Amino acid sequence: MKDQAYLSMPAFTATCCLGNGLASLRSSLLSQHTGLVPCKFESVDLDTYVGITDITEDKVFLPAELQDFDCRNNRLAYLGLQQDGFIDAVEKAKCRFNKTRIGVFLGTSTSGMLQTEKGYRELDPQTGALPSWVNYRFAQNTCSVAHFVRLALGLGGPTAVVSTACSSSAKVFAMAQRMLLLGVIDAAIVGGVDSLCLTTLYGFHSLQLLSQNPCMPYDTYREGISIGEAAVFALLTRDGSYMPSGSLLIKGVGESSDAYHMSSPHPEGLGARQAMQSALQQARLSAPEIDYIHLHGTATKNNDAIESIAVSAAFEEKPPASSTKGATGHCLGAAGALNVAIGALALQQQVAWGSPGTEELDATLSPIHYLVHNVARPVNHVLSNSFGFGGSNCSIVLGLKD
Amino acid sequence: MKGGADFSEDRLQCHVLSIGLLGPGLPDWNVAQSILAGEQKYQRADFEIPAVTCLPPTERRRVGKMVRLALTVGNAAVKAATIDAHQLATVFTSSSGDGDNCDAIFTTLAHTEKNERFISPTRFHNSVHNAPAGYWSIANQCALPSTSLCAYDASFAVGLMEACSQALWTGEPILLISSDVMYPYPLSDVRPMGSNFAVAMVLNAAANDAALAKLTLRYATELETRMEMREFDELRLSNPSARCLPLLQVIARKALHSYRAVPRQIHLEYVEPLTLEVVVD
Repeated sequence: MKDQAYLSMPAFTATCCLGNGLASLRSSLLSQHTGLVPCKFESVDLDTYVGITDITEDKVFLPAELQDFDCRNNRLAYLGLQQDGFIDAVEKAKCRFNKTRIGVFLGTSTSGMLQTEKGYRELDPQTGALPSWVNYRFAQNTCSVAHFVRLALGLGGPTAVVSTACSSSAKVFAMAQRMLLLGVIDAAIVGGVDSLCLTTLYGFHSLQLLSQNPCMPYDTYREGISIGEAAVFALLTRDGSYMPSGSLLIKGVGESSDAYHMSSPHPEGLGARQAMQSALQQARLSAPEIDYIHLHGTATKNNDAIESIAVSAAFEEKPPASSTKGATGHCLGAAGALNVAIGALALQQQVAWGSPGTEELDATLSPIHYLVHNVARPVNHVLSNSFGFGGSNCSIVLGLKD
Repeated sequence: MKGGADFSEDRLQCHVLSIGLLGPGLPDWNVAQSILAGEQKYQRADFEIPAVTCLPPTERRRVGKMVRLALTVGNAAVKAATIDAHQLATVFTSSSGDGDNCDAIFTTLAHTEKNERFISPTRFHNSVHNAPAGYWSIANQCALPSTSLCAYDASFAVGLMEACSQALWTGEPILLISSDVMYPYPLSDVRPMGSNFAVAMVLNAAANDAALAKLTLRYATELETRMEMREFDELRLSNPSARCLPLLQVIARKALHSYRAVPRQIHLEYVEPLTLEVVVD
């Protein structure tokens, strides 16, 4: 048996369409409010809803020395960093640990590609060259957001982006866990930042997976996803006796691959089931000890049906489960970390979240205990699911320190 | 996971069981080994990225250069390690992703009308950074964990560290694949690359008889190691995945017994101000 693989999560923050920081996220979830609005983003002419954040140019300024990084994704990252005293928590970590031993591991699928998308509309008519304001390295490159956050926080340690589509920002927890427990680093900033852009909106449209109405996870009449954007960050350290009772723990992370199809999950949900079971095994918990499952629940016909098969098979006694994507939208590369953050709020509030937007639970799905409305109940352990294109699966178990 | 780690240990060790390689004038690891060890002359030559035969025909038609390049070196490394790919977790790393696909999507989206902004579903799912990982898992029916990383010019070193940490964590061998493909114009203007290049390694915490080298990794602040031969250093700098070349050269020289001629310790490009120190035994 491996040593206990628990990590402490002394600080976290989330910014999405429900507002900047945890207070607005918490109050929106408690009132089962949705942040989804009709899509008026950029030049997009699709009939859909989005979860959009407020990062207009007059509201979010990057520091002068980081202007090269200016793009929608990094601006969202910067707004996210300002919330919930997160920067102070990182400053405290910098006092305790050498800043070259604090890692930055973030998930994104979009990076700052909106800037390049716009650049392609303004190619030089003679040469076909991109306009000079397209900054490939600091905006478009997949690693841009991790470089940006590392510099914005004044850190100098290991830095990388995990980009495995919609599981990206869950898998960073596994990466940080290994690096922390092998002793290569002493703390890690993990999370995900994903922002609206044309590629994802028109891409999901081409797959006929965009909902015309606000998405309705697990509903009989669900018709697809609503795309959202978010910036989520967490500070992770090794768990130690100095951590107070009741503090948040990452108890286990499970990863798997479907090995089935690029954009459809395995029909029996084998990959999803394996990820959940690996996370439980690493957390040294049995299925009945999970009090709430925060589902991936994207609200496409196929994804929800298959996740229900996987959950139903993995959990004989059915714990309460729901998706909150009807409130936040599907934040793609930031979805995994947002699911963890909302799972952490379930532990702090002792509430199993309902499913904003869902009206009539699809009776044809495999039997699970799906919550449409919030339920106050003891929540000691939460399982959070994230699954992505390419058959990339990641489940995370959160708990509270005894 | 190491039992009873005291967390002050900042060095990770793993063994290289095999290498797969494809670069200009470097058609495979055997040839590259004698070229890098100075036993054969290097002659730069552009190359065609082979088709992949390991995918079902429907999938085979859908994949671009990036997937073909990554799968080619992955297959070579797995074959050389005589391990079933089905049993290997994977770490993919790339600075670039599929530039041709990216360019096609951006060109389509530059239109202003909805009916002109139609991206094919295949193009869209191929646009994810983990497309090579997805196709690899399908081709090899491998359901083990897989991650896909990016760290701009540090992508190879980040991938090596991640693969090593996973090998130690699980106690099982792991496949690392680092690949970068040249962008088409106009993206090539803002991210020039001089070549296509990919490398794959099977790594394991434990040694076996055929192991090529033991690597000891540590973050450091020394300057990155440059290569003596100008052609090699140009190649190293021409493609983020080719940043592995100083390491491959030490392994090649060790394998061909002219090992004492070179320092065993090299520093790979990492995220500034760090470099990744690798000691080869």
